[in-house]
Amino acid sequence: MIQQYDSHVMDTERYEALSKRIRLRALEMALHAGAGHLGGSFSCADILVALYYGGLLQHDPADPTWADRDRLILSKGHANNTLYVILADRGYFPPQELDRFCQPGSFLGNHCDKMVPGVETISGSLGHGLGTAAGLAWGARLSGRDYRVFCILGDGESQEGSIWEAAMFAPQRRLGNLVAILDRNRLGSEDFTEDTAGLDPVEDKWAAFGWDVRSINGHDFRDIFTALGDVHSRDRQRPLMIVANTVKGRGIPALENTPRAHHTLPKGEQIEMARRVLV
Amino acid sequence: MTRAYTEARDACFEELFEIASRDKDVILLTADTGAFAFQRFRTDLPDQFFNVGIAEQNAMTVAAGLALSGKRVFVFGISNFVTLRCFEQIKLDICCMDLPVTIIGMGTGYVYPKDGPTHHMTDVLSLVRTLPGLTVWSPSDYSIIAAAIRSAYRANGPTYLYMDKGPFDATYAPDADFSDGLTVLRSGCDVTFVATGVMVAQAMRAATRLAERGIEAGVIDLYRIKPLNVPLLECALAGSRRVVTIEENNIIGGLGSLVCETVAEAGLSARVKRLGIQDTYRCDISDREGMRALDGLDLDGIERIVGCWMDEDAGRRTALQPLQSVGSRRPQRRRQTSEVTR
Repeated sequence: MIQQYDSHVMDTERYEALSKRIRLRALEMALHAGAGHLGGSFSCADILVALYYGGLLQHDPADPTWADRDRLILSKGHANNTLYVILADRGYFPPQELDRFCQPGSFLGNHCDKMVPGVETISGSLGHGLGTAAGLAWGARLSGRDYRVFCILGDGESQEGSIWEAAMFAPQRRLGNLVAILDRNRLGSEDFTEDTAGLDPVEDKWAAFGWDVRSINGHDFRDIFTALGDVHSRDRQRPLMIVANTVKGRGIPALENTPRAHHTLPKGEQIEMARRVLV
Repeated sequence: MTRAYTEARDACFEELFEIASRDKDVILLTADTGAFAFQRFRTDLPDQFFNVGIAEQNAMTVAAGLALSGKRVFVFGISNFVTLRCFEQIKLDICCMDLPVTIIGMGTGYVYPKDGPTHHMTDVLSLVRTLPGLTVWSPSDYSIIAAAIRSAYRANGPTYLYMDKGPFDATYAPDADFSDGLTVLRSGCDVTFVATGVMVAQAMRAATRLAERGIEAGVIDLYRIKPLNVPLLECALAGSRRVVTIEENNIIGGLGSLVCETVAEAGLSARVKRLGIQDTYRCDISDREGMRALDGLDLDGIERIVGCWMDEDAGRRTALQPLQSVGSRRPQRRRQTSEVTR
């Protein structure tokens, strides 16, 4: 089953409803486990939905190792809650496994692991994914394959120097088959990024490093599809950076745009409020 | 194909060039460290050789990505920089994902003796041997370097080649079999040296000197640190009463620790003395032998330390009976008693 981008997918209500369903399932999964990183998982949830359901990512759940699949590297590996729900929903593994998230014996842990069907690399220590994605994109070029490599980065993660090593490297190799998406929720684990080691003007920085840069609202499906709609046809020799402006914890009012959203779970009435929002 | 080499980088890169010429999926990356042999890669294999710049963290993640795309990747750089600087990338992106990436670290120990602590490679061995799944070669000879490259190419997982420039005292035939991971180069009943890398030649020279004093020293060349051939090392050490490990590496975590672990776990009766960098940084400026002398790793130092140990044991033997008869309060002397009575 190869997902093809469809010009009719601008049915944003459909994707918004889908996104709510994914978030709600991820919330229940995390609450059941008593673990998770809902803040960062929910800020990039809409991007993941667009990639996996909107035909942007060419993949085949029946054949997770299909040689010509597009690769997705979730560099901010703690944000795997929504990814795992999506992978289960798409058929990479049985959905009931989500009920065993972070339980002894489950293969679904609190960070991305390569043993999970549909997951390309382990991730969880920050700053690794963009270099790996660049290597994959370069390998595709050297082998004459035309798959794309997507890499979802955190903005707190972008304070790691290794990100900027890769930022220099990818344009040098003219990796037009590499697409980075910066989940710009403006929060690290404890503080706002601009209060610790500021990234702004982040678009200018990536452009100065030689990337094509597009800035979008990361929760607006029209924006997402517009920004990513041409990734399989663009013939630019420059990697593409999508700066997706997002809200950490989006969908859980008690956590939205708060530092504690990184690995705090909602409690009591906060849960009920989130469930009402996500229904 | 086996060839006789007389230069470390030639042994490494000529061998790799032959392999890469046959397999277009072999990629060599350098983190801006040079070798004469690279000229052939540049001219004949331009799509397989790349300088990725002075960015070792990125070099390792890019290597992992290339390997995930189906390539067999070799990364070259100065040992310190392609290990310490990017240790987590090696651990997570290469070893934890069990990818066919070979890291070729140029230089061991005091290979750059005048360059200060930034270029002293005195902890690399301790660190890399902690990485599960990583095969670690520490060659003492050009033939082992070439064999390690061939082995790394055949392997499905990661390899670290800890490579000194020598000179080595050529010991092995080009077509020798190195799958055992260690070789007993010399037998001796008084003391057994276990050395690795460029220090094997030092151990051999020290053994020759000690023989002139009537001390018979054996020498074990441990050229594959990991996976360690435990049964063979146990067997090689089984008859030894004194074992001296010799490495240009911190005594913590490296060869000395490895041998102590083996001796202890096997229940062998040997005592072990670890010669290596004595858990310190050296800002001294000297030639290589001069740097070794700071920790007794020069030939004079090894001879002196082993000689003293022998003399001390001989003295203890004489003094043990009276001490034993009045009840020693010194545990180490009681241990010596059992050795003597045995």
